[in-house]
Amino acid sequence: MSHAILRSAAVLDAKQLADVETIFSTRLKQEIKFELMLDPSLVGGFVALIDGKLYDISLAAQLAELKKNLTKIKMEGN
Amino acid sequence: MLEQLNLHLEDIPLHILNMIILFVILRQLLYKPVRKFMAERKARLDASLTEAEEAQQQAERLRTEYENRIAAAEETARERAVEITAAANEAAKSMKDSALEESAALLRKAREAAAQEHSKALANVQGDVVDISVAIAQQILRREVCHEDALKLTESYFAALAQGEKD
Repeated sequence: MSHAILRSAAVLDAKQLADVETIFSTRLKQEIKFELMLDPSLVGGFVALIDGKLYDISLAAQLAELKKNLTKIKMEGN
Repeated sequence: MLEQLNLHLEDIPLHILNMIILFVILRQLLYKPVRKFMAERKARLDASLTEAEEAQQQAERLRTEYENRIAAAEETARERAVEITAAANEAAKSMKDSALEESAALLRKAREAAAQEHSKALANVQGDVVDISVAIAQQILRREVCHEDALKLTESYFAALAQGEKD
């Protein structure tokens, strides 16, 4: 079992946490148990740290990516 | 008749001799000195006239020379004035050309600066628009995204990861 930390934008109840753990366990093919931390700055989604590897599934990261792309388009347009 | 006029024929030679002697004496004492005086006077007058003519000719020569010098000086002054005018015109033209070049350069710089400021302002505004748009999206997402959406996001993430590994 891997020790992992999950940062979430919203508070998760036990079932919701279990849902997330199920997805990660299925995808990574190992049993994952998360230590939950609240981080509203993520806007939505999660950031998971599992065995030193970071999985950034937060909306904040996607918004940052969107902002970067919009800025790049603007500069190329000028 | 002669006796009535008190004339005696024997006196006539005497009178004639008297006249001759008088004439000779007058000639020696009066006529010759006066003639000499007149000749000297004429000579003096001629000398004065000659001197006056020479003086007049000298004056005429000097006047002509003076006029020539004046004319030469005027000509020199005219030529100098023409040179100075030409030089002044050239200098004025040069200054005007320099001023025109300088003002054209300043205008170009001002236009470039304005274009740069415009681009900068435009970039700032567009940057602000992007920031505002993302901030609005953030607010909406924070409000609207539920747990199911977060789970779907997670599934999509891993699907994309798997696709990336395949590529």
